[in-house]
Amino acid sequence: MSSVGIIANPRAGKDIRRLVAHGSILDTQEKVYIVRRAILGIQGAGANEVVLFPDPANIFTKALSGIENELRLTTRFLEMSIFDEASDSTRAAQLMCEQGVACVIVIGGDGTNRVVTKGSESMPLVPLSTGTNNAFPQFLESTLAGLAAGYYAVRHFSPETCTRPTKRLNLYRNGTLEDIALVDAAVCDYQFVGARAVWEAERLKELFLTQGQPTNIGLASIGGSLHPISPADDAGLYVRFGGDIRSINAPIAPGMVVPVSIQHHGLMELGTRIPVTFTPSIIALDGERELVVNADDRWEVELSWDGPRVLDIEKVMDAARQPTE
Amino acid sequence: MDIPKDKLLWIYERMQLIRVFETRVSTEFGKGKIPGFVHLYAGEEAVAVGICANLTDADYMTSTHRGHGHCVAKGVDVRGMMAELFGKATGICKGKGGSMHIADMDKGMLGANGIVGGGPPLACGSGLTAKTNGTDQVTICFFGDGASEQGTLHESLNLAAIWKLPIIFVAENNGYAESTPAHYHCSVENIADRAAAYNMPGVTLDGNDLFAVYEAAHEAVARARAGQGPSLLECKTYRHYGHFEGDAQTYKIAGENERYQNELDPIKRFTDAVLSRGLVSEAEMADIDGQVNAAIDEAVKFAEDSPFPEVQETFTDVYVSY
Repeated sequence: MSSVGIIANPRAGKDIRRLVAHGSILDTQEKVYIVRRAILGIQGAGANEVVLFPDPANIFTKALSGIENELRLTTRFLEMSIFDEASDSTRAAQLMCEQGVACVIVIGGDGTNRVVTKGSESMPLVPLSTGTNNAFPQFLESTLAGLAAGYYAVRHFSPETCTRPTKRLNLYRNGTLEDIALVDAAVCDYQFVGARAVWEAERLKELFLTQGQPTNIGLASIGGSLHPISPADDAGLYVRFGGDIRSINAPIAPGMVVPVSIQHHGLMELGTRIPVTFTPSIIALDGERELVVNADDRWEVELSWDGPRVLDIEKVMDAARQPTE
Repeated sequence: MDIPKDKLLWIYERMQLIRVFETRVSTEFGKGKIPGFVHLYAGEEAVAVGICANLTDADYMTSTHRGHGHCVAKGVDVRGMMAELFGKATGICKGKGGSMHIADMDKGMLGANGIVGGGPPLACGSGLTAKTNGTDQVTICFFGDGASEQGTLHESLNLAAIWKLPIIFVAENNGYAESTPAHYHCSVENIADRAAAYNMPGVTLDGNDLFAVYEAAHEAVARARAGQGPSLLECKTYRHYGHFEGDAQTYKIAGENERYQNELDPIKRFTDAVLSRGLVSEAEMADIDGQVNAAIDEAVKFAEDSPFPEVQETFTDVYVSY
């Protein structure tokens, strides 16, 4: 059995950054088209089965209803309860992993990949960008993503050669691992989690990055302007904001290029825990306010290579050119 | 943005006032004291209050058949509201509007509306008034997931966009148009997705999270006051009661009501958040609870003790001569 999974986040591309910045509304119908093309790509590679996340927006049901006459592979929905929460994606990834799915195409942004990672274990991800500020997933036509994922499943390519490791941030509360981030963890002085997105630069107090390149948008762009760190580098970046020592212009949201005051920045070493100094606060993970930090809690952030393995599309497609034995 | 303590207390008071008002209306309706129909708003408090916390009395609002919460959030007197529901002469519309036609021009409340999709064209009217007069008044146009399929809404979205009117369209998506689930009648999963077709920003929100609604409304209102035109906010929420009092709610999924009335309840979520951050004390909240209960007791007594309108008043104020 050669099986590929797909998880799509129905909420991606709909948050407050449509209002406060200039983010596009990525409607659900567009996600339906993306999923259709991915499924047909998987089929084109010869896979037997595609396993689908029973999302509350019915993205997959709608996607299948438009291609019934073209389908030759088996389509199967995961049997699971849906609560319309982020944890649905985590549970879906766990089930796919348990059921021997070769890899999972993730349609969403940094945040979607973060919640999938919590359940994916060693199953590689094929992250496709649909979110608003994305550094982790790549912009790629979903037909190609489907083809690559299908080839990986059908040809049993080696994870060592056809996937690459990624970094992640481990967030510890009073010494216990509490959460993770794949790209950024931003300590902000918001009162509440509220609308989740971070778009006010003056609210930023500290930032931890696994990567930050000049071509990034979102909080990772700050790293790109200060000290570029690639996804392959054995380091991360720590930034403390405020003061009048240095100011940079950074595109922290679509169409939003703002001055950001930098007090200090430095490299994060692998395995070293850096304390969060600004409390009480809210920590945003991969662009979304998530964790409430109380004054009497001790929070630390650590960089590791424990992120998910990600399919290397070029290597898979290159390997797929070779004749099968 | 931060919400100052006095505003947090106001928010809590308004959410509780809506909840206790609706709970009491359910009881009094069950006793046969309230004529006609009532459509209760309990469960959706974070939407009305999160939006109205960003308004002044000068701002306008159009409402729906489920309008009690909108009225309370906009500051309409609960004694006058309760008397109106009882059909009494002391009601906010002299007892002739009832539950589905409460209006209070002093508060900018242009009326609940018995017609599904009846509010959006009115919102365009008040929006055009503000724009023509050069004021900074905004109009909030509440509508439900059922109304999102009405032509009146689509025509109004288009008008508001081409005239760049200061309107915030607020879709209260509680999952059911009467008993029909949204996925059955609505071609899109998110009503806010339709904003792109009308050249305006659209945001989908957790409508049971007061802070998410407040933040988005704050930005949309500022945008409208600055002359940047309309926005569409979709608040995913849930009504604790049926479509109307007496609705057996057989269309709801088992366990759904319980989940929304407990872990997802907007007042509980607000309370947990402000208490855990030490922004408001339990004693302050208990004080408000006492005041709210007393206010609703007093409103019911006022309604019960008030007279019905005189027969000769039947047509007074009902028709307007232009």
